Amino acid sequence: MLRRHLFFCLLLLLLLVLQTTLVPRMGNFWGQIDLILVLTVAYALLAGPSRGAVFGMTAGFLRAIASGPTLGLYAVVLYVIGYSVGQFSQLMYRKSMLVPWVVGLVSTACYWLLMTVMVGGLYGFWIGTGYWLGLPVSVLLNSVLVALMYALLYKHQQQEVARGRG
Amino acid sequence: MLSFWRRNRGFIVFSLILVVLIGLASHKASQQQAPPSPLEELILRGLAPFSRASSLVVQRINTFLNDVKGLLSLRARNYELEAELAALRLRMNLLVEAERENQRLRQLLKYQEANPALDLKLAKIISIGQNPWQQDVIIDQGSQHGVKVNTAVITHQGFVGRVYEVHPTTAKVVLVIDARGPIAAQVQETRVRGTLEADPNNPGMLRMIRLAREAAIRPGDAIVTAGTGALNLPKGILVGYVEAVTPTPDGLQLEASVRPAVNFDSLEDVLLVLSSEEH
Repeated sequence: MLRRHLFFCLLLLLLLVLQTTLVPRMGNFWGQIDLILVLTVAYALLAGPSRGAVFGMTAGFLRAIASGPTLGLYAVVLYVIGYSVGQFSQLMYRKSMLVPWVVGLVSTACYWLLMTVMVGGLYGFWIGTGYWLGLPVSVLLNSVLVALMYALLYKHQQQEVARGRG
Repeated sequence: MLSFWRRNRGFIVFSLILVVLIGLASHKASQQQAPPSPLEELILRGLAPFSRASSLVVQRINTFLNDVKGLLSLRARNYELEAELAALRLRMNLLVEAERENQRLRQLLKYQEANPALDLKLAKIISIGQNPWQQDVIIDQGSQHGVKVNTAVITHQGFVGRVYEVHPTTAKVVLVIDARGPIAAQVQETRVRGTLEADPNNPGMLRMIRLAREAAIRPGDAIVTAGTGALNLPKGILVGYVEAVTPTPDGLQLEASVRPAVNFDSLEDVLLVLSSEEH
């Protein structure tokens, strides 16, 4: 169990570093990738609402510490996303890649909506059409990554179970 | 006699031919300049096409054998060369990177020399947070290096942003194109003042607001920091250029669309304005 938690912590830290160093240098198109969101959604799909929420909150805090507008802003949004996505964990057929993809689509759109509302409410900065043009690309890229990430984590989980550590 | 011939026929014929051949060779050797005899000429002409064909075949076979031999060593050589090429490419990339860094630092140094009134410190960007709701970076200088909250961050191109959170060895910088980055600014030429903030409709752009309807501001005008306001930023640092000027929806004021002077996509090294004599 401890090993599994350590694995997710290290994965989160790795993606956090990539998100703040590599992704912003990848240009406008690939720069829409949000690895922390992807990991939160994939984890929540596997672990359920409670763990998903806790993971989202932790990831949000870490992200805000690494680079963020306000400590807690990402934590709130990712907490909600983690909890909501976790609700689907019991409804889905685990080997399917379609459900994670659809959940990735919806959760990325919700993430945009929640972030817009939070930043708009906190700073009075309501993003306009120019910013929203990035939404389709973001939704597409992140949903594909959610499906891939879910498949990898699911495989990892199965291997852990087979080894008797699950 | 006949029995001797019968017994040694082979040896005798062999010896005779050998003697003739030696004689012929020694004769030819003594007459190198002499023209070939008609018989030689005839034989040579008759043999020439065959010789040519044979030579061609032999040549081809030789080439083929050499190719096969070469191919065997070619793979190993190719592998060696590829490794060498990869190493050279890596080296070249490092050199190009070093050259670019050198250029960037030279530009920053030049800026520092041209602005002796500013106490500048070089910092490297180590982390970037860029999405529609967040435009900030983390630099490798903190309170231990004299960085304070609201320290202005610039490059040789212009104003980048200001420090909003300081740690011992790092600091968070909010870029001027972030929602939290409004600053007091003015038109360099006419000294008209206004507030510069992120444009919520155009990513990466700024807008200058609170401009009087008759304010003297035109496209192409340079916008600089005003040096006023609570942020205590140094005065006169270039922020961007006016692209368009339009009246506000209520028609009472003007609003200017400003393109930042700094290219935020390629930001790597910045200068921190630790103190300014002008301010």
